[in-house]
Amino acid sequence: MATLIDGKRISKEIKDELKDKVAALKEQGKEIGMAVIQVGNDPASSVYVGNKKKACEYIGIRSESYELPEETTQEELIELIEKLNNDDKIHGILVQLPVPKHIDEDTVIKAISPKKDVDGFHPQSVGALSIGQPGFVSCTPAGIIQLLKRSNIDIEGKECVVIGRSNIVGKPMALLLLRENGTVTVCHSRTKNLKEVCKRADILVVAIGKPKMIDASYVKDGVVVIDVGIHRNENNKLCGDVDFDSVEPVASAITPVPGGVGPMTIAMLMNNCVEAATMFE
Amino acid sequence: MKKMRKMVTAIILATSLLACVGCGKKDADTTKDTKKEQTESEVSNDTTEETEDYAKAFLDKFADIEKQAKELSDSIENDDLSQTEYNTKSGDLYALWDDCLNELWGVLDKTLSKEDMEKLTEEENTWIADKDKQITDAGAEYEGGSIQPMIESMKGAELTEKRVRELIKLLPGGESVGSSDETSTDDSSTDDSSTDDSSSDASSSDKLNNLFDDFLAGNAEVKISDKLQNENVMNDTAYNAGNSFTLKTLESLNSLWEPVSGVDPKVQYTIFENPNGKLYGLSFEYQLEATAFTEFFVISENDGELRVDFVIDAWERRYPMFNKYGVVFDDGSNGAGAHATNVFVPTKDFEYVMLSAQENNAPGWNFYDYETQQEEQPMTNIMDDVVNSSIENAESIIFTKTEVNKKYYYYYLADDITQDMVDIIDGIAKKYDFTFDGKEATDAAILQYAKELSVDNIYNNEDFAQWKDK
Repeated sequence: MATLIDGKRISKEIKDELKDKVAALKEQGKEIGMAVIQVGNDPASSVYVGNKKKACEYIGIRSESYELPEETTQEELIELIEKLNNDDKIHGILVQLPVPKHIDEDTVIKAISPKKDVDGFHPQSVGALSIGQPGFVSCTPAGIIQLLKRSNIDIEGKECVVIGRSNIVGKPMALLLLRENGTVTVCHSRTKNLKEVCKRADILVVAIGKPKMIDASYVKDGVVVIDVGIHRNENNKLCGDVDFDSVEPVASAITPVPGGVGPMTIAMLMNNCVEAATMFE
Repeated sequence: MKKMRKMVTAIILATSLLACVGCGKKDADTTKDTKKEQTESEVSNDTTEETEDYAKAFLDKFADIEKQAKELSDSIENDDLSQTEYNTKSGDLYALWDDCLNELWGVLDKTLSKEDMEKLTEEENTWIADKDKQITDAGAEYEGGSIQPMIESMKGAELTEKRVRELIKLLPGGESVGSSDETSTDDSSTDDSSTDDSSSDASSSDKLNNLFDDFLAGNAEVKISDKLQNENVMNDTAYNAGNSFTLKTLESLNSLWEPVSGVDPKVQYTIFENPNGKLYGLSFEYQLEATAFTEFFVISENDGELRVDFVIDAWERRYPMFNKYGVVFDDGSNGAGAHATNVFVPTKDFEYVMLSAQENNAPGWNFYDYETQQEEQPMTNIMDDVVNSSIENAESIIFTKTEVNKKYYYYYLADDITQDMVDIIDGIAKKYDFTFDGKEATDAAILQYAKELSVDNIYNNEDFAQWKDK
């Protein structure tokens, strides 16, 4: 029977640590500020932005919210970003995606200063991760590393398999595991022998986007399974990419869905913002 | 009016007294009294006219105020506004009624007697204190949230309008305008031919509107239909038959919500007129872990109460909405990982039939099958399909009859039906004693029924004829 890796608990732990850190920085006269930009009023985006602001509030980060109308031009948005890039009181800049169709996402992401790129999407941030330089890491994979570390799961020397090669999860995940001295294999849509590769894994990170695809036939006994997916099954119950009921009896540790990887994202965003205040000093 | 009556009474009394006391000088006094009477009578007539003029001028203006209030209310109810805009418009609405009350007060001051005014002033002070408290209480639940100003303004507007309508009855001619006007909140995109103009329909429309206004103001409850089971939606929700919720307790229905999520969930609602009555769609967004969801309640009026007939739990940016058929919803997963555009069509008893259009190029995201190493069909942008959902576009239709006490069951039309599907349907149909038009639910009957409901024939089916071209 596997240990459940409790993302809810760990994310709260991280947020509380950050709260103390921010308080200490405040005493030294440093107030951390984060700018959150939303263009248009897509309800889902409003929810995400609202929660990020609330998380900032909890931790003690000052958030500045920019709610721009749908018809904001790309130039206007870039101008705002550049203004915030030069604002010493702002340490992190986040543009809530997606942006309206008339605005190019890549151009916007590149406009954010790499020193304030708390989402970790800027090519320079990605490059920095690749060559081991200081920079921001995409929140979900950063959160997964925290889940492993705080659950006392060693990565060094372990056979790590990542299923999925997205820019937001799969690729940075592989680099982070490598940074922790794991032996890393990335599986993707052209992988010929998926089951065979997965069965080698001591640590299996599943970001495949297909509900309950990974069952016990994909894993070896004692594997640590990190399930990044979230779906709804035929009974309308939440599930991940991993068939939990099948895998849990053979795994040594596993993240549940919900309550595993999901809660970590916002915690790591806050972490990035706090890091932003000191990382490039 | 009271003032006039009092004056007349005084005149009569005065006249009587003089008649008793001044008998010796009767002729001269009488003349004088008569003159006085005439003068006072003229004064009272003038005063009456003046009163009526004041009242009339106000009542004329009042019609315009009502019109402005309706425009604002309709915009708040129907337009897709940002929270800032909601706050502004609701503030304007409150200010409109507040100014109206102030003006009415001025008119009453001119038209009522001093005693009446004193009494009214005392009442008004009590009313103001109570109103302020109710506004504060309404807003307290949302303290710090961006929705708080709107909640408070709407409460203020509601109470002040009510007060205006009470006091306006004190004006000559005010009784007839004291009742609240019918506020039509028809969704402009729906077909008006579905609504009768009978007075009973108008009053039931009022009733539903008022109930819903009360709900949005935080006063009324919505009850979950006795027939609804929480299996239709995500686990760990409290959408249990018989449960009720207010706007305040809405969040507590879903225990999976993040503690920091669902912050002042942005409640939106749409109104839908369909042949079987009026429906409200109440939706709000919340976050669960890293994903935003839209919860969509389909609400009808039932015996003077608001009732949730159906709940849809939609994933990020798959916003349910009403169209000419019913509630359109992109179901991210039907258990097989595929996508379908579902339309929930309410029947007369507000049970729902679900039509599910699953195209060969099923909308959704790119989907790769790791087992077969096959790329799925490239997916199209679902939103256009959702907005313009039309059965004609479906290459095959999965018809699902949903009886709310029973589970979903599916069957495909035409060539798509599989033995697995038949087995599932067969098992469920037998378990729940389901029949097709009174016939036993055998495999053959199911298949036959399914085939009859082909894309071409769908509009000829009696159940759906009402939706044709609406």
